[in-house]
Amino acid sequence: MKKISIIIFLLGVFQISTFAQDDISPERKLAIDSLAMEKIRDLEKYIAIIGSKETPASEAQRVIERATELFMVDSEMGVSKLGSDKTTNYPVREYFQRLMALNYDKVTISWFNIQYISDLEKMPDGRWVGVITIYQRFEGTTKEGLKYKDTTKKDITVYVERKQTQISGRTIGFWDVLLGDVRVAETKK
Amino acid sequence: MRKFLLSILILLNTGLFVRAQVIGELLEDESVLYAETKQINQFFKRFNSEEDKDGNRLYEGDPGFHDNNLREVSLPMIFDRETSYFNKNIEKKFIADVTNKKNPVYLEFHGGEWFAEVVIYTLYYGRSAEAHLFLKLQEEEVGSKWVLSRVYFEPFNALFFDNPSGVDKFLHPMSHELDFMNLAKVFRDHSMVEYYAYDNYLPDYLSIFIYEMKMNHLKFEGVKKVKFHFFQVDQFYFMIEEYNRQGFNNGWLISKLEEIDEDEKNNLLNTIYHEGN
Amino acid sequence: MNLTVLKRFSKVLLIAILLAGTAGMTGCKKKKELAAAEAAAAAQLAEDIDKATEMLEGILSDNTLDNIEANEATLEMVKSMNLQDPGVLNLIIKAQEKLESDRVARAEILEAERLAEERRLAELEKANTNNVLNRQFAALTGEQDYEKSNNIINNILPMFASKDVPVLVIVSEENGMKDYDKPTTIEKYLNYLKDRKAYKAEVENIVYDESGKIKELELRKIN
Repeated sequence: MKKISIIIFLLGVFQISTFAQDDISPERKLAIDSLAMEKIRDLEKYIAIIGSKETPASEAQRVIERATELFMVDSEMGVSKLGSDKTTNYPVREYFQRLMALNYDKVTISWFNIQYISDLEKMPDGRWVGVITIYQRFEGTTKEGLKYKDTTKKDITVYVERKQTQISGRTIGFWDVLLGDVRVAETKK
Repeated sequence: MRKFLLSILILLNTGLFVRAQVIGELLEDESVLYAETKQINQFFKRFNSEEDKDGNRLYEGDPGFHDNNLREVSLPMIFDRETSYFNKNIEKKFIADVTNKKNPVYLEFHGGEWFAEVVIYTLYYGRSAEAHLFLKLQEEEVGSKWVLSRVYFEPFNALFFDNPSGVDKFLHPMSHELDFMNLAKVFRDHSMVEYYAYDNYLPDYLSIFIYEMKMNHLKFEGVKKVKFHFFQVDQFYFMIEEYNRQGFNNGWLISKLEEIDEDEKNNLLNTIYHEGN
Repeated sequence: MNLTVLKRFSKVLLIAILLAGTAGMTGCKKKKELAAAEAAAAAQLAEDIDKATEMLEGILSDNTLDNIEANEATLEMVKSMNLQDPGVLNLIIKAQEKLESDRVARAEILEAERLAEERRLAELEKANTNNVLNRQFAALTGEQDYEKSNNIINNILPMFASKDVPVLVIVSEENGMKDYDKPTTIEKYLNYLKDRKAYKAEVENIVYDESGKIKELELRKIN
């Protein structure tokens, strides 16, 4: 894995998903996939900022708000550690607060290039849902020089809905892409 | 000639889902991630040859799409090779069947016969207990959703048909002449009430589960394990589980494969559902 | 009647007879001269008519719009010749009409050129403003220091009518129908660029209010 510091520019091999039971053209699908991946990259960037000890507290707090806005209300992070079957669920905002409060002197969060996008499936409420899988490497160093490392697999729910709004008196159609529950599992990597 | 070419293909790619990159630490880390069957979605795609070795989606007309030659080579890689045992002949027959040129079998996400078994932690009257939830993908007018279809919960199971002497219990055929006054005796000893139900009565654990949840006697504590059972390939059953470990044989993999006929299928389903116990 | 009167009458009679004789001799000469003058005049007229006709036909056959003033001067000159020849008069009318329509055509062309130039200048200015914004957004993503980034944001915001000015990002377009990302505000967008450190779009369209501030910004996502 390329060790990427806080300034991250991801060049992913991004895998094109399809819509099952679809009624959207391939070009539009491509654009929506791209939009969904942008949200994931936004999240990755925000996590790096929140976790970094170099980020001023006020900025980290602001970014927590922005990161939380990526998610649907009531979204949770389900976290499990190696050696345990138990998963602990945290509301996303609380997860970010905990991340910010981690007791390390230095934190580096980076991502592997790979990402996997599932097909998008239609839900009974008409919205589309998919899952994007990414892998994150976390390294924390304490004041005493102790290092903690882990690699986690993140399966991130993505909801896509076509919406309309009024801007300056005209109707704008847009794709509302929101993240949902995230399964965070420590991997043996 | 074809076998030779396929061998070269295998040699060139150590594992078909390896992504060639720079050498060293980078190679192993990233390649392992590419090799991993990261999602059930990906399991379906790999089984059907609907994605390439980099995980890019293939469509009808793309080289490699539903390619049975490729499937022949790649299917063995989505079996758990580290902890599960597979009968070589059954495996060979299974792969030959699904990659059969005339009638290949592709897994269907929607409409195919497969379901999930989710083992959960619960607290039942304050005590820890595991429950098995069975879910299936139900097609709706718009979209689809997972629904609970059955439950197996040992504490419920222990309540029913646990007394051998119960089989001798019955309400005699003239009970109606006494306004069924003997029901009083039936319900006085409430531990055997189920023996007075109709023939082949089986308790619906799902309803009891829902009831106990509503009554707050039963609390959900977390998901322990998820498995998927497949009956989509005629005469075969297989199960998939998730493996979190180092190496290339990783992620969602086939952990069980059995050759079954119709009778065996029904028995197997009963076993999976813990019914008829 | 006395002799004096008679002598006087005879003198007058003689003078009258002499005058009559002279007069007879002068009339003939004049007639000749008249005829000659008339012939000359006729020849001149014919020449004038030919000349006028040639000039008028010259005006009518001029397919450029470059000589309108010169042609009008020529027309005035022909008119001042006061020729009554029906052919010439007809040509005068036609030339007048042609020159009128030439004027209109030239005015239209000039107006079209003026508008095109106006548009070109407007496009240039738009491109300049687009470029200015594009550069500023890119500068924001390149800045690592938070304080400096915030300063850049504070320099950009005054260009906008308010911090809540809508920013629309086109993510795809098909048959003229645009798909957007969720609309945001300029303040949020600038902070997004600051956090994300990547500007993967370009300015598509800017809408200004009466005071010259940007009241709506449309961007197009580039991959």
